[in-house]
Amino acid sequence: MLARRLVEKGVRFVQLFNGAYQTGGEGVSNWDGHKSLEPQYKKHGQVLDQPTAALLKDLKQRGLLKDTLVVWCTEFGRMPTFQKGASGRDHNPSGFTAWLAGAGVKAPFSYGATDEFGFKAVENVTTVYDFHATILHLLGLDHERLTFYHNGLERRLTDVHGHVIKDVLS
Amino acid sequence: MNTKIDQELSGSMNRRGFMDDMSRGLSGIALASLLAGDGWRGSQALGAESSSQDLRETVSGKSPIRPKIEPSRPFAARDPHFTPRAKNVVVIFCAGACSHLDTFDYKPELIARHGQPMPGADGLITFQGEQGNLTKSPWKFRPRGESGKMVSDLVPNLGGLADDMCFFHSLTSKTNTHGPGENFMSTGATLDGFPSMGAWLTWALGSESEELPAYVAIPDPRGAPQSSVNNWGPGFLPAAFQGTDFNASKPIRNLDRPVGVSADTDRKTRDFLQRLNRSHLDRFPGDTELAARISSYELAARMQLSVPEVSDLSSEPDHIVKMYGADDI
Repeated sequence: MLARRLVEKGVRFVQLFNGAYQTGGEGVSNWDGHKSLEPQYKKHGQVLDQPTAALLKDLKQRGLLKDTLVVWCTEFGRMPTFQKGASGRDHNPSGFTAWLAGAGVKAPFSYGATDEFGFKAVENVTTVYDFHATILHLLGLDHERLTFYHNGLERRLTDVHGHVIKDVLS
Repeated sequence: MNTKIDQELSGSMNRRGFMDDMSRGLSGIALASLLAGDGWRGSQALGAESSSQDLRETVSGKSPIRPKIEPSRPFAARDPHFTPRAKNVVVIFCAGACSHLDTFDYKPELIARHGQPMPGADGLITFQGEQGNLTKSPWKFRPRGESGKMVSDLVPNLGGLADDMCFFHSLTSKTNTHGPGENFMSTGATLDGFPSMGAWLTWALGSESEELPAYVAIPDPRGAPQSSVNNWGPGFLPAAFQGTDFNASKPIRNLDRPVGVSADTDRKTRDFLQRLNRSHLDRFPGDTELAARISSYELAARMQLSVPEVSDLSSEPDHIVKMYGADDI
């Protein structure tokens, strides 16, 4: 709700976090469900689902989604297998999901795919650099020209990588 | 005329003069440290346009485009490189690595082979060790919206909005560790201390809002993500473009008036400081550092009013509060 109020007032960039570490490590207050995924995710799902959906609806109803890009992301994915002797999934950086909604993106649309079990990305494999380049593009910025000279280098958000994924642009 | 210099020269400084000198000296030190703490170094430090820098080329062979930052208005809205599709960004970051297999990535084969070993994964060791068998999600996937996109029952409300979403199902990360992973997603680098995407965007584009920070980070009320402030830090970009972190239950640090300072005293002190700063600026019109600093104190003063107002959710009507599920907290 606060995020919508900030966007309404013209704040350029709002970054919300769902998941914390101070009040409980591994899976307790965050999505790190290594050993008991079901009870932990049941709790986190409720925290994420209704408020995030409400934010999207609220932005849409007020016409703010026309100018606002909503990015849902996480740092990596999890394994299709449970850990040996445990009831949860281990870390998996080889394939994971994020979504965009709102201004400038094609929807409904799905880009790329993981293998049959969801272990590794196999179709249109995408890097975080590509994801960032695409977001900057939607904001009207060329990720190769938005640079800051620092320690002898023209630094970029995308380092020396990244391609705008044109397929997802509306 | 008996000036202080005369007094000093004659060695005839009286007690009152001594106290006067002391207090001025101390306030000078305080001001110097306040200004030094700001780290403002004018338009150069803001990375703003300058002709000599623009001769450089990036690794891509394209020349840089510098944002045109007015030091006195560092957060003013600026033009992008080309016509944008979006003006604002809202990021929802699920810290801890939210499982794609229990939310948005439907895999019938995983369900079909539930309980069997994953082919080719014999002896596979991942972050915490050995793997057991393939395991389907505890949540059922159902077709959603007109598109029929399969989304799990863990996130049914989001599933209902699947028609509005553009999914990336093939993302890959460079690291399997949370802190570096958060850094990579938020800053494009696995190490700490690089500018966050929000810092890049607000450095480039400024903000439409004159009363609120250009970039706000809203941490989970339960605490910070693993990489904490690195997720919204400015890195080597000017510190002005870092995210300001607050949420509905945790106000901005150091923004409230101290107890024992009345609103009137606070305003008068600020006015006095502004008067000194402005008269200094009149004498040194080229001092962009000072102009930037004045603007930053002015923004902080406006935020003392605007932030409590924007964070006060009590003005939201019941049906909105209910929609967000904030009615049962």
